Amino acid sequence: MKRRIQIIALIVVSSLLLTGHVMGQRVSFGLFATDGIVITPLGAGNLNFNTKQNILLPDQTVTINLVDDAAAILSITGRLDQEITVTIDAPSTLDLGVSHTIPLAVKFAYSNIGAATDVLAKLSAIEMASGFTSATFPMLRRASGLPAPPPTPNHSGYVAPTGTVYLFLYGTLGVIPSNAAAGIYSGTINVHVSYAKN
Amino acid sequence: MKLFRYILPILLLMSAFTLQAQKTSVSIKAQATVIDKAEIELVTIKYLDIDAGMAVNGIINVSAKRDGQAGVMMVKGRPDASFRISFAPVVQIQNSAGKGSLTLKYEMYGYSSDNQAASEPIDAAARTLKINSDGQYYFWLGGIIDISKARPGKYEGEFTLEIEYI
Repeated sequence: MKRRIQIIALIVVSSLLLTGHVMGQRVSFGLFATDGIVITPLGAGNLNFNTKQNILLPDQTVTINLVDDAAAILSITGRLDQEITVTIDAPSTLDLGVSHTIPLAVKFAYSNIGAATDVLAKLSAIEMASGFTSATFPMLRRASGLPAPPPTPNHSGYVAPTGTVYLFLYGTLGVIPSNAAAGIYSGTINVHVSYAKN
Repeated sequence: MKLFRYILPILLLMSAFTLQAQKTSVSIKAQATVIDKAEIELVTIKYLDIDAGMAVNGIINVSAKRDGQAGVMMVKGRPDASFRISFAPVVQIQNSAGKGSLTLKYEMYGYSSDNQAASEPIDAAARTLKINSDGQYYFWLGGIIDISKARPGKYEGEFTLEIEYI
């Protein structure tokens, strides 16, 4: 029942304006397992639509785009000489209890150019079309020319080179039903990563 | 010959096991907090308008009760509901374009209809107010600010208003 509303005061040399609202919350990630591939949430580690739009009201739709800071970011570390398959298992709604739901459409993009940071990676990210939930791609995008040689077989003392791929999750929430109950709507997006070949 | 028939299935089984073991998963939370339209909504009707030309001896004083430059806000909520507010009456606003800061002392007046002249002072301490039968309550925001020693620049700060149904 308690709402905190913040108004930003702005003075430009001699004038002052007031505007704005602030709401917020945070959630955390949970790791299931790791074996050869390591997935690490970066930043806030969630997909929070209030980060894009502070106050969400019934009849509204809010979209987090790839370029938005609110997009969730994951780093995937694995063998550079392998291809990986990423599968996004997202709910079609965010739920409040069992009877209140808001439509959710999640999209994703990946960057496999060997970027040093997620910021640089986002600039070259490849967006998957709406409705796609899985993609297979090399850990390191190949340059044009002849195909790369086959991976070095595992043998005693051999340590395969590793690299990082960045994954971005974003999407659209809404339309929020006009009779939506107030509260926190949530859902869990599962991200599965495996080597495409061995 | 018999030996090969048994070895081959075993190798395939091991390969499948390796693939299975290298699958990794993470779950992330998607979340949104929705506010009921009937719950509460703060609408800014007019911004607080301060101009350096209004200064008298370096002091700008905008009366929340009398001045047309006062900011106007309206709370939309449940009709006839009681609520209380609290806010920080004094705030430092920083010069984002250079050095220095200014101290802004807010003045808040409120009334249950759009009638500034009839409004009553609201101090920073939590005080019980009542939304009218149309689901509205009005605030007027003024303030006092000393710009006599202010450096030119762009000053930014925050005004925090907490609203709570009771």
